[in-house]
Amino acid sequence: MSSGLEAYREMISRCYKCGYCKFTGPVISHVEIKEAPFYVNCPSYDRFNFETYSASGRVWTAKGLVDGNLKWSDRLLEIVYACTTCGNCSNQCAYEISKQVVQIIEAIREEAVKAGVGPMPPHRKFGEHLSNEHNPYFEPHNERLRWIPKDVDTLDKGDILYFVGCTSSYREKEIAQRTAEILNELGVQFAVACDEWCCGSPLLRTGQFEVAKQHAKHNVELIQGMGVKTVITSCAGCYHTLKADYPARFKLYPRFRVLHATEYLEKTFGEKGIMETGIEEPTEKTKVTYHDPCHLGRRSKVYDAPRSMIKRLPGVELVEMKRSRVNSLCCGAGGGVKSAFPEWSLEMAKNRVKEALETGAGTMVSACPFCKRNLGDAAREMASSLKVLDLVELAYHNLRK
Amino acid sequence: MSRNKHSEVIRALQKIVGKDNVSDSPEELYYYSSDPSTENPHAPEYVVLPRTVEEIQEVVRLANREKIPITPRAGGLTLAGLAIPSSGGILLDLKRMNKIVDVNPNSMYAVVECGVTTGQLKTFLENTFPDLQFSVPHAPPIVSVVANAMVYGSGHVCLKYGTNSDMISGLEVILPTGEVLRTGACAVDNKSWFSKYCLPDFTGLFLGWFGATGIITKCAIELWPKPMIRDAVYYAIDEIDDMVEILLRLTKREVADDIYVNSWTGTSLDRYDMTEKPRGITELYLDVILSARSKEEYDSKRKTVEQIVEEERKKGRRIKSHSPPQSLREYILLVPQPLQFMDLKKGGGSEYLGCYVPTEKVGMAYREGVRIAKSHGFQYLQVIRPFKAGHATAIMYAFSFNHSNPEEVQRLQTVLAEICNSIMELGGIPWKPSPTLQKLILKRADPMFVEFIGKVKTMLDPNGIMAPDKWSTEE
Repeated sequence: MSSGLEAYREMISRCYKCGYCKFTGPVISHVEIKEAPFYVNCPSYDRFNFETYSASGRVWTAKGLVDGNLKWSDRLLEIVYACTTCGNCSNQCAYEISKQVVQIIEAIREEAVKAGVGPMPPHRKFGEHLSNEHNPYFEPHNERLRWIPKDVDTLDKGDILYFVGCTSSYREKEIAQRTAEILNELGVQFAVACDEWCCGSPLLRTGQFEVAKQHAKHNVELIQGMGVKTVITSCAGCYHTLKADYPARFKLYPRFRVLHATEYLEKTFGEKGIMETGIEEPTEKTKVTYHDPCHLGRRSKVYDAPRSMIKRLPGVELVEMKRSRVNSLCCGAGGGVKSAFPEWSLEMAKNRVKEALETGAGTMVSACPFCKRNLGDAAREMASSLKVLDLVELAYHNLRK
Repeated sequence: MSRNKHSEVIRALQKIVGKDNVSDSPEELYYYSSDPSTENPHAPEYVVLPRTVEEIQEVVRLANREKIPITPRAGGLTLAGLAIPSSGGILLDLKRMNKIVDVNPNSMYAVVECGVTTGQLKTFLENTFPDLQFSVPHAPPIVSVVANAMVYGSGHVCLKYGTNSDMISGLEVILPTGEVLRTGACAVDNKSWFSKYCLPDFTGLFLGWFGATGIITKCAIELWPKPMIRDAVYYAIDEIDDMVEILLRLTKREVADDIYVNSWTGTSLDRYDMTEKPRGITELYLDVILSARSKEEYDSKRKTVEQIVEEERKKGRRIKSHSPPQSLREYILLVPQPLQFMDLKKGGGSEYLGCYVPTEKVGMAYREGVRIAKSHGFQYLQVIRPFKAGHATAIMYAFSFNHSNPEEVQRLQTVLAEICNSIMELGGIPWKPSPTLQKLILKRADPMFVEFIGKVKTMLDPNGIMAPDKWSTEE
C-alpha cells in the first residue's frame, strides 16, 4: 500500500463501529441544532443496507486494505464509489476520526487509481476528456464562454473574477447568466477567464489526483496572472475546491480570496440596501425552501449567507426542510455518483424533493448548479409542481419584479 | 464446505432474499467478523439481509437442511462479541425488518419488527404520538429496540418502570426449526399485543439467550405517558458509600424517572484523556432525573430530593450541589451522546461490561471495579443505574483499548474475567456477557441450571444451528 492511505493508518484503526455516523441527530460536539429527530442520514447505507456501505464500513474497508486483509475487487470499488462524499456521516460522528472520514474515502479512491483499478468507467471517461478539454461534460473548451449574453459586460482582467465552473458554463447556463446580470445591475465590474479550467473537483472526488492537480495549478497561475483579488463562484464544489482543497490537497496557497456568489451578493445587497427599501411587501408570501449543498454547508460551514439573502427578498418566506443545515440530506449528485450510479442518484434527489414538498414550498432553491441539476431532474421525473432554482435565479426574478 | 456446496447455498439464499441481499464477498465477511470488544474475530461465510418473516423461515429451514450455523444481528452494538459469528455460517443482518407495525395509544404499546432502531421509534413517536414515550437507552440511535429489550437493556425511565425486558408484552419468534411462535395475548389473537398476563409465559425462553433459542421477529414494547417537564438535579459525591446510602433513600421515595451515577471519567468531554483524577475533581456525579406534568409537581419532586440530600448532609455525608456544563445536561436529558472515553486508547477497542447487583452491594462492586482496572493498568469509567424502585442496580464498567495490541487485549480479557468473578461473589450477575464470560457464569452456576440450558437448546434446536456459541454447555 502506498503512502496516500497509509497516512491515515492510525485514524483508520480508531473506528469502533458505534454507528453514530448512520443517523441524523444532535451531537454534543456539533451543537448547531439542539433538538433534531433521528433519521438514517447516509443515502448509501439506506440504499445498499450492508454495513460496508456506511461510513464505518468504508473506514474498515480502508483498514482491510492497509492491513492486507482485503484486496482490490469490483465489489470493493462499488463500496468505495457508491458514496456521494456528502459528509453527513462525519458531522454525526463525535470522535476525532470525524474530521477525516471523507478524506479517508477519497484516499481509498486515489489508491484505486494508483493501483490501476479505479476510478469507475464513467469517471475514467470524463477524466480523459478533462485532460484535453478541461470539462467533464464532453464539450469543447473553446465554447466555455458561450453562455455570456450579448448585453452583459465583462472584463478580461480585474480585481474580481467570476469563476463560472463547468456546470454553469455548459449545462445550467441560466445560473451564470443571472449571476452576471445581477453583478452588472449592481455596478460590479468583474472579469471572466476564457481559459478557465475545471476546478478539479470531479477528479479529486473520484481519486484522479494527478489530473486534478494539473487543473488546480493552471487555475491558480491563470487567476493570479490576471491580478485578481476576489474570486466569486456559483458552484459549491468549485468554492470548496478552490478555497479548501487547493491549499490542503495540492499545497497551493493562492493570493486571492474565494467567495461563493451567495456570500458576495448577500454582503453587497446589504451594503447597497437592495431590497430593503422601496419595495412593498406583498401580502401573500411565496414559500421557498433552501437546500444546503454539501460542499457549501457541511464542508465549508456556509449556512447563513444564503438564508440571509433569501430573507432579504420581498414576498418570500423561507421554510426549512426537516433536515437542513448540518443535517441536510444530500441531493445525490456528488462524489461521482451521478455519473457512475445515475438511477440511484436520481432516487436520492427524489427523496430530497419529497422533503421539500413536505414543507409546502412551491420553490426549492439551492446554491450549486450540480444540486440544481439533479434536484431539477428529479422534480421533472416526478412530474412535480415544485420549481427548482438556484438562489441567484430567484433573486434575479425577484429584483425584476 | 466444498466450493460446489457453497455456491449451491449462495444460490438458494439468493432465491429466498434476492441477489442484492446476500453476500459472500470478502469485504462484507471482513466487516461482520468483528466488533469493538475483546472477543476474537470470526468471519461468517454468508451475510444475508432478509426482509420478511417468511424469508427468515426459509433461511432457517435451509440452514437446518445444510447444518449451517446462524448468528442473528440487529444493531451489532452489544460491545461484547454477541453478534460475532463465532461458528461461521450465516450472519443474519436483520436491519431490513424495520417496520413499526402498530401503536396502540390506549393500551400504550408499540409492535415493532426486530430491525426497528431506537432512533426510528423515538422519532416516530415524537412525530405521531407526542404524548407517549418508550424507555430510550443511553446508546447510539442505531441500536435495535428488540435487541435492547431481549438483553435486559435499560432506558431513561427504568427506575420507574424497570428494564426494557420488563416492558415486553408479546413476542413473535422464529424457532430454530423454522416455525413461528407467539408469546403473550397475541398467541390467542394475533392482533392483540397488549399483555403477557394470564398465559404460560414463554417470553423468558428468548430473553437473555442472545439468539440461541430463536430469532425474535416482532416485539410489543410498552409505552408510557410522556410528561411535559423533564429536568434533573445534580450532585457530586466523593465517597461511594455515601452515594449508595443516597441511592437507597432516593429509589424508595419513587420520585425519579432515572438515576444515573458517573465516575469522574465519564462526566466531562475534556476529562476523558486524564489518566489520574486531578485535584478538586469529585469522584462521583449523581444525576437525579425528574419528570412532571406541571411546574408545581416538578418543584415538589425536586424538594423531596433536596430534603433527602439535606438530611444525609446532616448525618455528615459530603454531598455537593453541582452544575454540569450545558453539553452534559443535553447528554443526560436530551438524547444519547457518544462517550469520548471509548476513544481514549485510540485503537478502535471498547468493551462495556455491565453487571446487575443488589443495590446495597453497589459500593463493593464499584471499589472492585476500580481496584481490578488499576491493578492491570486500565483507566476506569463506571456508570451506576438503579432499576424499578431499586430492586436491582446496574453497574457498568467501560474500557477503551487498542485492538491492534494483543498484549493489551489479553490484559483486558483478564480484567473482564476478574470483574465477572468478583460480581458473582457479590451475588450479582454479569449483563449481556460475552461468550467468554458466559463460560465463567456456567462454571459457577448450579449444575441443574447448566443442564437445563443444554436440554432447552437441544429441544428447540436439534441440529444446533442457532448461535451455537451462545450459552454453550459443551466443553
